[in-house]
Amino acid sequence: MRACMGSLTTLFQLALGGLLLDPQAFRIQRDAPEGFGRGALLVALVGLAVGLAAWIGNFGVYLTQPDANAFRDTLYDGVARLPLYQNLVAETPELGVAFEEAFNQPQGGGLLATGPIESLAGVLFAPVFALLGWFIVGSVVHIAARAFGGSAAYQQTMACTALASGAHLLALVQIVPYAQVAATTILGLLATYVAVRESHQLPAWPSFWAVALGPTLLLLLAAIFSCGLLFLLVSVV
Amino acid sequence: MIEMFNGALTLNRNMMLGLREAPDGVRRGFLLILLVGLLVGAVQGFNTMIQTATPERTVQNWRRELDSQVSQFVLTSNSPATADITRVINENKEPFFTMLEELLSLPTPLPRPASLLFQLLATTVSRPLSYLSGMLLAAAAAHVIARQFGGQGTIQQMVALGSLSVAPHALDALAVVPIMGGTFTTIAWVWGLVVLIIATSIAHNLDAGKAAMAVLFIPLLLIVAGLFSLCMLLALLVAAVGG
Repeated sequence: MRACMGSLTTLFQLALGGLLLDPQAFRIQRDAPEGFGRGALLVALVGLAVGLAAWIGNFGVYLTQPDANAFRDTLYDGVARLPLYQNLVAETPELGVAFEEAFNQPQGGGLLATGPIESLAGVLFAPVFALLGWFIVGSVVHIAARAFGGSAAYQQTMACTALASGAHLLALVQIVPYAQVAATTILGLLATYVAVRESHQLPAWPSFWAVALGPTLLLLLAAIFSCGLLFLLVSVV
Repeated sequence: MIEMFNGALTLNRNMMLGLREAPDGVRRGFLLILLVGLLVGAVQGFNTMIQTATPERTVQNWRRELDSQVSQFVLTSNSPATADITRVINENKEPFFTMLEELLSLPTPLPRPASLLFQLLATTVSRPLSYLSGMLLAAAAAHVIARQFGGQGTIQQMVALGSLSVAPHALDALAVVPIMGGTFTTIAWVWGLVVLIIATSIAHNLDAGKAAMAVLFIPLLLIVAGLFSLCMLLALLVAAVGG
């Protein structure tokens, strides 16, 4: 029991080190023989804690919202009473049909929070998605860092990048219903940068590009896709 | 913490140099953001709670806001299109606000004060994160350019010192003051920018001119790129409509 509490304390201190970009925490992870396993456990536990916090917050929101059917009926009656809607339906009857279809959606058409049972799956999937994200980001960063002259083993990169999940401790704020999460992505990227610097002992610029390469390529692909879509739309018009 | 807060507001160089060398600089910087964010969030949360205490008061505020927007819209243009839009808004606003009041009055499992309390807490705890997010983006962008200019600071030093730029945003708590609120927010923003420039200069051992360039370069680049994209989009749309 004491050993378990000790490991949990160590994990919490490491996560906090990741959150505060403490280079010492990253060095400890890099040099620890059990760094990879400990990193995986850390990512899964942070994911689980955030999922649980989000579920509790969502339950709070659910308890302060009206019944979905009552909400839908009131909204339907209110919109149908609007002169603008009546004029539009008179001009375009298809609009009325589309409106009826939209209002036949369950759960207020996604406008209201889902119930505690329906959102329970999110708690179970949160650590799985967190681990998946860690594997993908860690692997891409490792390949890029090695290409830029880094020398760390795969396990060392993964052990250090796991600390970036410490940034997600900020998302625990979701335990408060209606709270908005921010800063986790940018802080996670900064922590990943420190992880690459400490694990691969790379200078600032190669470390920067090792972290920025993946997001830059994704942004580039998104920009090309958006431009292609825009040209398609313009040509159709 | 109060010493650090005062030091940030008065651009105290010695305090900033001390923070740069402190091994727990990031922790102290984040604590400052937490302090300022909680203060501003709590004030704004209470203000929102008072304004939305009852469904009638919530809708009354929205009605007042819409009326003010419509008046400004009418003042800026007197074209037939403006008259049409104003007529549609006036025809629909009362049924729309009645619907909103009915939606807000629907019974909920927990009483309305619970929802108001949750929203007060949410505004209070979300504000530090929104400040942190803005500061991290600004500090990371400034760090990248400062390194190009020969700066030698680490990202930890930049984040720790950049956190000081949030201190003037304590003035955002006065944003709830009628008429003067916007002025306080603007002063806080400009003061924060000055603190960030000084912080960048100290974190990277750069002169103030280079530090200012480091802080402003990426935002200016983004503004120029945004304007260019907008012009391109407009040109494309005009070409498509014309051709």
